[in-house]
Amino acid sequence: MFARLANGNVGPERVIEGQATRLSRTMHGIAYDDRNDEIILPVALSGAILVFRGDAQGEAAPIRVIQGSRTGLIRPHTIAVDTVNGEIIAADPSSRAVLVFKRDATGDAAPIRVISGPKTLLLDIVGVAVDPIRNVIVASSRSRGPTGIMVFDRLADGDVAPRAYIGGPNSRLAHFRQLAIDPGTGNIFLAQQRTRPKRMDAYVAGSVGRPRQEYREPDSSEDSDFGRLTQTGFVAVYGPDDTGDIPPRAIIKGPGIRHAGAGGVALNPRTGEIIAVGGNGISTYLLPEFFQLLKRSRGPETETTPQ
Amino acid sequence: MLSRSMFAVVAVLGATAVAWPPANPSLPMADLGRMSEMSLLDIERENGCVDDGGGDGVLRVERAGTLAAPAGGAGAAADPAGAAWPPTWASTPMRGGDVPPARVVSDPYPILHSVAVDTKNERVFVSDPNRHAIWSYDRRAASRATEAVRPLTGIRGPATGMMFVAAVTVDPERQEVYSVDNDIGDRLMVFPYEATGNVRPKRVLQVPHQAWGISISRERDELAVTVEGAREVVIYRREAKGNDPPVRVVRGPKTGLGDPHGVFLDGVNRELVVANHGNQGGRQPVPGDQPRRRGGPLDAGRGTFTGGRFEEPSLTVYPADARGDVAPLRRIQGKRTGLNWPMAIAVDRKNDEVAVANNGDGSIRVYRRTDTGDVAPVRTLKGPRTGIVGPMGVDIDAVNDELWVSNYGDHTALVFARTAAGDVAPKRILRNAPAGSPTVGFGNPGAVAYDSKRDEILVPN
Repeated sequence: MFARLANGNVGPERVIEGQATRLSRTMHGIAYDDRNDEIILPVALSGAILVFRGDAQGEAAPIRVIQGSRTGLIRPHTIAVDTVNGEIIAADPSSRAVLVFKRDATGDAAPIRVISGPKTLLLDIVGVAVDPIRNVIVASSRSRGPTGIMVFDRLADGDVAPRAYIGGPNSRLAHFRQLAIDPGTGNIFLAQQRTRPKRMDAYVAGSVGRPRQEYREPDSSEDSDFGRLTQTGFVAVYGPDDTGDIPPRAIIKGPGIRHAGAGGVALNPRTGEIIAVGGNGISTYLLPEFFQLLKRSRGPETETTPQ
Repeated sequence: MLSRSMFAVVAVLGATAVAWPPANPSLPMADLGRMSEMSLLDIERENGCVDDGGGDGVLRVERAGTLAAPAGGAGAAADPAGAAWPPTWASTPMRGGDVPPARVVSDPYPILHSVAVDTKNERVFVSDPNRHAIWSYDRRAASRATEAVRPLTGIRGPATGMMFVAAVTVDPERQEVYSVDNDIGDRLMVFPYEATGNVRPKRVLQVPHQAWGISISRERDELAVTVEGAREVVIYRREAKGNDPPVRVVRGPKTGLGDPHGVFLDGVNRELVVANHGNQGGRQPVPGDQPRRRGGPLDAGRGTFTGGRFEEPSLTVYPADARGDVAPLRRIQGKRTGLNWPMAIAVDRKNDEVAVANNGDGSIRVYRRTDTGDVAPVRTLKGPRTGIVGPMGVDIDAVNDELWVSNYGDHTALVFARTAAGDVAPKRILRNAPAGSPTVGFGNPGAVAYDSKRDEILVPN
């Protein structure tokens, strides 16, 4: 945990770590519940959701753990909290599902709703956010098929089609992660690490003796993404009603942003700040204009009215 | 991009470079091993690792890449009337662009992850996930007072292909250094000892996603790699490259593997030793002599859905030629062990001991190699005098009777007497940043949250 105004080479103000915390390495999600002062994390390596007190420090045990065979959690990667409706929304790329739990669920608790199935377009779900004002759940999902942002009704349950989908070659969405929504406008923020999909693992599905059938040997130009501006990532911002194969309406990208790409994004609407993490740093951008409604005036669907 | 960001922070420090190589190479390393961060960057720049424009330490924020200015000024930004749909990147009015951050939290120095000592060639190699690098030092190098030690070599830059480099190990006979990328790279890379700068690896082997630990057995001419999420140890021929398949895989519910990290393939005692954090994902692993399954929804019948669980951390020991779903020969596990996020391990074949970098409680724990069950360590190094902070790497130098520790929570590698115990100071400290330099404590973060009550930024690692 770092002070918001931390700048330069500074250490964290406090750390939650150690075996008793039940945290692991390689955690790709976090949410802060400002109404109940709790920190919520998905632990992919143990198929669990952990909830800590907001002021937890050191080897503090979680106050609640959602884990077990009824939860539907295999490898939860990303998480959001709906403080208005009292729900935790987790997304799991192994169960290929968005799973909604009661905020105070604990133990081997079943989700109260599950968005999953071929109509959903969800596969490798790496980001999820909820907008309780506009009643949507937004997920970012990658695959060799639909890759992009899927917008669902907040109460969607089962194999339901997204009501909006932002993706396609013109969107340049490929290897992204965390989502965030500005509650004031409904603008959708996405952290993209790079504009090229991750290399395929050779042996994920193959036998011990040979690589998977569809594996393609990377060419020498794929050795690294570093330094290639055309392939570096960005923070993209979309309006709440955006859909289709479109570029973002606002973006943070370029040699001066001090990031090769962003894996995570969080918002501080009060100060007009966008906080991005990636590489090995935290960058904070002061962009109050990104917290104004990004409105779509024309397109394949009907025009929307600003809130 | 990363180079730029780190350089900009460093430039503020404005330290002065020292001459290298030293005028008198016969001077003891303790006197020679001085450097400043600026000189480190000089080395990197000479080797083509840093692209900082003019090379004068000034980060030039270029606005030329800025995308189109927002349309409509204040208020809602809308597509201009009559514009084609869908808009293109060139035609759409897009806010923002190449925006300099108001604040950056970043560590410009190497952060040590793994350590490997070569007594034959008097070298020590460390992996650095912060700068995506491998650094090497003279084995006897030590910091003078609070200053950093200048590395002998630094492998870093886009041609290396290194990303979040985790473990490192060495082959002293062939003078090769091996590293494995965790999380995003999924590659094992081999470099010659003399490699420095922005160089391509001598060999690259594609390894499974979330590979972490690596160990070479000279006796078996094999190397072993642990994989966190898959809960497996993958064994390859030592010279495997490209898409060469593993010769065998240890994986399955009987193995007791749970989020494995450190590994030691012991060809002398014909054993495979693994450090486990104990995390078990929501699906039972498929036995290692069968193909891994694809991911899939819960109702797709793809493997046994068991739900995740936490097990106690452990050291598990298998026959060196174990294959598939085999139960461990021995298992060190339980409250008395004190295991707490065990990371790298090192087996001391001469003294029949195994040392563990116990990251969770900032200690090094040493067990008898043949221990099993809920046993206390024979020695524990821990306390403020030791300087051990978030240890990730450990190695044993049986020739000089020394124990090496690499600190993830500090910019140091520490050298202790092999049998040191308790709260004792190290014999030598190898710093790669001025003493007291903070570390951010995370690497390759993939998420962030804002705590509005405490005005804090939360980053999971």
